[in-house]
Amino acid sequence: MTRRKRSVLPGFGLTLGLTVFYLSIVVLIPLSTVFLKSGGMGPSHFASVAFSERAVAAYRLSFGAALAAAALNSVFGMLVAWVLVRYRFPGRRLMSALVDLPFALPTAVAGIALTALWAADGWIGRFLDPLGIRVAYTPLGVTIALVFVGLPFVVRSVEPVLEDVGRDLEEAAASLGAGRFTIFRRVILPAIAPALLTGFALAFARGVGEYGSVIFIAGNIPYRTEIAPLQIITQLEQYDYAGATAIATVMLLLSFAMLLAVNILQMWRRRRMER
Amino acid sequence: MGITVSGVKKTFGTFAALHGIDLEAKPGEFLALLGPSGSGKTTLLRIIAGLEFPDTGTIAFDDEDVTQRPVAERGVGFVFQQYALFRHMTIADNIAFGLTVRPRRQRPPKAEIARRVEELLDLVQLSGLGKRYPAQLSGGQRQRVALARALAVEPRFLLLDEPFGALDAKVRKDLRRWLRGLHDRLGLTSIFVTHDQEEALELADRVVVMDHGVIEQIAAPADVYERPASPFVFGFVGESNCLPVTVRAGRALYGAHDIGPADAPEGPANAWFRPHDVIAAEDGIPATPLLARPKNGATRVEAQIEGIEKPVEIDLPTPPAPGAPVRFRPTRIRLFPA
Amino acid sequence: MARRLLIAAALAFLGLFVLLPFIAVFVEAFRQGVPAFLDALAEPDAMAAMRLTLLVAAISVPANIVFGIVAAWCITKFEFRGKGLLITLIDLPFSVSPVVAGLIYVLLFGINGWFGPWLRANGVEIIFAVPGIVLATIFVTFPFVARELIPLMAEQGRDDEEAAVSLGASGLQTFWHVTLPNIRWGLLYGVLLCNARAMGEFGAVSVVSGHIRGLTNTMPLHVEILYTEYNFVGAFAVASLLAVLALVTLAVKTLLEWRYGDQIQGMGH
Repeated sequence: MTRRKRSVLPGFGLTLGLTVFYLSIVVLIPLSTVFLKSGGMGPSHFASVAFSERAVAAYRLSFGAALAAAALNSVFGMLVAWVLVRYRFPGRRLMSALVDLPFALPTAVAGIALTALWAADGWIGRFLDPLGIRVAYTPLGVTIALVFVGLPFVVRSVEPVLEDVGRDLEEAAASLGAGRFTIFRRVILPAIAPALLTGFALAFARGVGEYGSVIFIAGNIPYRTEIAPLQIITQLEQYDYAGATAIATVMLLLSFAMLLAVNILQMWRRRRMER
Repeated sequence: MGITVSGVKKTFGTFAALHGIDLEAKPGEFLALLGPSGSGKTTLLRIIAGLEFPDTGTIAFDDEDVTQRPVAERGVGFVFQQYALFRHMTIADNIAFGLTVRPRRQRPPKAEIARRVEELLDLVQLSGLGKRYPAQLSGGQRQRVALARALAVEPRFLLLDEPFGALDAKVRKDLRRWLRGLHDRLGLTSIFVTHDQEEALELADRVVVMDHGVIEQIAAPADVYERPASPFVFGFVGESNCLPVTVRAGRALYGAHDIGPADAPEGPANAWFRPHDVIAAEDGIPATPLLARPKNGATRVEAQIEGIEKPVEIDLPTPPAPGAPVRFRPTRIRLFPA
Repeated sequence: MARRLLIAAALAFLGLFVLLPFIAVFVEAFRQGVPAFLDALAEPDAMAAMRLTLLVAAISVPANIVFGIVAAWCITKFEFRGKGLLITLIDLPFSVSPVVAGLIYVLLFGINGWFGPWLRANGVEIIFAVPGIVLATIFVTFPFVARELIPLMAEQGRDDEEAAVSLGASGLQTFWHVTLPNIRWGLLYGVLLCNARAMGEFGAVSVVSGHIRGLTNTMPLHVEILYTEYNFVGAFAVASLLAVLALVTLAVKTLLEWRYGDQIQGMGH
């Protein structure tokens, strides 16, 4: 006589039910409206809206700046992670807290602060203006804002792996005669590569969708300095639901692709650790 | 009060943990489930407790079918391998837990609970430590708290999962003796799981030897040691050697050496014998000594027989002469089919 | 020395890109002195914005706490297929742009949305009103508590709960007496992050709020309005309150990590 599978701890049915219910109501059903609406638009209409000249310019800005920012963050984020993990110095804990600041600070606050710094008459901008370097209201400004936003992702992704790699691997390599840069290139970099890529992907994904930190410094001129999320809002304000949805769909698909990429990277990393 | 297990099978995904277990624990008995890791002994214990459910088969407590009953209603006391003490509660609160979570009607008054906790602390020799937290106690002390906590609810049976696994050797030995003494005093039917055969032989009234989800033998410790039912039991319980032999005319022959009587069919077989069931003999089986060390007044010699991969371990009265082969003959062998 | 150089470079990078903006908020807020700063905060629309922010947090954070606990219990205390999918779905709001998060609720409850006509007919206002703001905030802060609890509870295993149940405790008793004490610092940590995001959310709320001064403006939105009106001191004054919130969040977070690091685990974003 075989019996159904039973759980020892109580509450399975209830908690699973509640979880799925809340998840559906808050996340799944609302998200599905985007795809349903896009689906209802028919492929040619969808394509013409989602890939209009203006939209493509917006994607180029959002994706481009996010890519550049994520790349910059990968280099400097790795540096910061290295310093935090390998060295002990006064103020280390403060530095670590600083890394989390972009994550904790509301985006609008960051947005106006960054503009105050980099505008032509801003704290830093006023030194750059005579040099002909305009930051605010240009793609450069957008990139700098995204560097601020994406930094924690890279640092926090790489830190635990750097801790794992441990001093002894480096010491072993050194005792075998490897120079510092070689050690870095052939021992450390391969070990942290998956984590670094994960951080990069997360920073990139966050950067593409970022709104509050960027909207003040961006300039927001269509076809030139308009980020994709802003275009969604503009179209909503004009009650062009279809247009807004089309762009949102493109962004969502990108988000899911990034999520998938990150998950695959995590799996790759886990498999490497088990070898 | 006895436990009856009938036809229990359990599979985890594609892994078959138990292949059909039939077992009886007699009232007041101290039963050991002995086996290597992966043998299914812990799974069986957890099924008896109600922490897992079997795919088929039944569990009965005193002829009452409890197979479908949730663990909270079975009235068993379970002691976990890692103790599972509630680290944010004091020792006293840990022990009292089973009593404090009872529904109002069945809950004893506070004073009564406190009294019982004191009693149990005395029983496990931890009086005065009630206000401490688990992190402040040693491994052996934590083990005793886990036991006291399980006993507080006055269970019908006591189930212990590798109770001494996480402790070091000296503490283990002391606690072992103490647990047996406790059992004798309380008379509670108990089943404990272990992979340490010395422990099982020392403590249990009967030993259940398990391997790969199957029961190999159930018998008193002496019987499991002296009359093992299978090659696995012979090899797992106590030290052993194994030689491939040929049975001819009622004798077991290793090459030209007659090593003992054989109550088995003609042809190839395996002869098992213990290191101490051996004598040095001039016409015995030759072997090259690899290592020799003193053991229990004799010399334990690890020697290589030509053609046999695994060295034999034999106890000889005197250390072998350096460079010279030893010659020995088993005095008592047990034959199993090849 | 390479070490000093690297530390200096890291500090310079962080100083320029992270610390400086933070300091700028406070400097700009007090640019016209303390009285101007206080006036900006006491202004009725600013106070209304603060009240709304607190209200939204007071609703969305507890809701997500309950969900987080329920989801973590379900995922970590039982075995079932599809767990990985569930966890990925819970993580979803993290990877969605805040503006899209707002958009989806407009598509559902806006005038031209699925339920738009029905809501209009029954006089229920969600978009451009407080309920919409609460919903959008719940969406974006959804994963915080769950993500914190799931790895923590998974690492703690089931032994304690099994022990409690074997001693006769019910599900609720087990959770209250055994699980909760084990997860309390991780829970606090998750609540902290959830709250910070709930109070500071901008993009999603911007889409659903309608920006009606005094009624549907949270503090971040109010900052935006003041800024676009060139009322810089006002904008930075309100912003500085949010910055202080961020500071407190970071301080408590660091404290928790330092004292209870081993009980928090799973701090990957």
